[in-house]
Amino acid sequence: MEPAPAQRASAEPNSAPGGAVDPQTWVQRYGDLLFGYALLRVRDRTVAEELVQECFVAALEAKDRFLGGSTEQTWLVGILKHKLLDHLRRRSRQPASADQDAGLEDFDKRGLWRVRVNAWSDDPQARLENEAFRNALNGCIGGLPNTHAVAFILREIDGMQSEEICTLLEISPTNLWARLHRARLGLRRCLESKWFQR
Amino acid sequence: MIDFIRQLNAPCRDMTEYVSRSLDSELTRSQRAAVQVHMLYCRACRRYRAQVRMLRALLAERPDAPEILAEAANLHLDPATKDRIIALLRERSNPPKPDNGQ
Repeated sequence: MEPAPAQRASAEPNSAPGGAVDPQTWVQRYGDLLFGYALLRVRDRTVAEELVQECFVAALEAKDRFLGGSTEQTWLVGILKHKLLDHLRRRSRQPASADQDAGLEDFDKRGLWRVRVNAWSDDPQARLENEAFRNALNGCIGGLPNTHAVAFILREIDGMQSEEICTLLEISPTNLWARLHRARLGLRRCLESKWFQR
Repeated sequence: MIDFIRQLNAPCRDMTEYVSRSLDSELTRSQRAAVQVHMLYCRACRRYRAQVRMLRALLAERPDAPEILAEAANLHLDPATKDRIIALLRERSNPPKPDNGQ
């Protein structure tokens, strides 16, 4: 028998934004997730901590405007995302000379593959629901050079349009495509060795 | 036409860049045609294309992928930082009454 909708709703504890907020519960419940979200994208612990703090402060001020249309977690991630984009916009353009040449190691001087590219079987375990796969994917993204990883996360995980990313990072489309190309090559290589060749 | 002939001879490194770029933007007609011809005989590039498409598909099937991956990163705020944020939020939610020393 299906549980009554009211019971199902109450099964999910929600500290009712708009009502009283217990800062301790908030920070304990969501602090690590928000920190992980920020750190994956800015790759600097101090900056990530500041962004999480700004996010909580903004959430506290805006809690009356939370209408309960999403979960509290999604609402907080949305606020953090705004803070993060502001940060990326404010940050002066960073030259990526060190990353420029990275990522093309799989090709020889003539530009031909120097590694074997294997066919990935349609693995039902290769899903975000699968913890081992999530960890492999996160590990591989974490191993990419910073500028490649950030481009990949904004494009493929956050689903931003190329034009938005170029504006945000103050880079040309050609530069973005080069970063994404190298990120995809790096991830492909890493996932092939860490997952698809198990 | 000259573009097409030059692109037709482009090596796998460039072809994989076109394949990657096709996920983010429109290729020119000659680039698209060059990729199609290259794919006819290059198995490694065909596999690369299947792999990057698969990566995109599996990230796209979960709209909450950003949250899932952030949680899975298993990163932790330093306890001292947590305490500092909690203290700041308490201060902001219960601002101390102005003390005018009377």
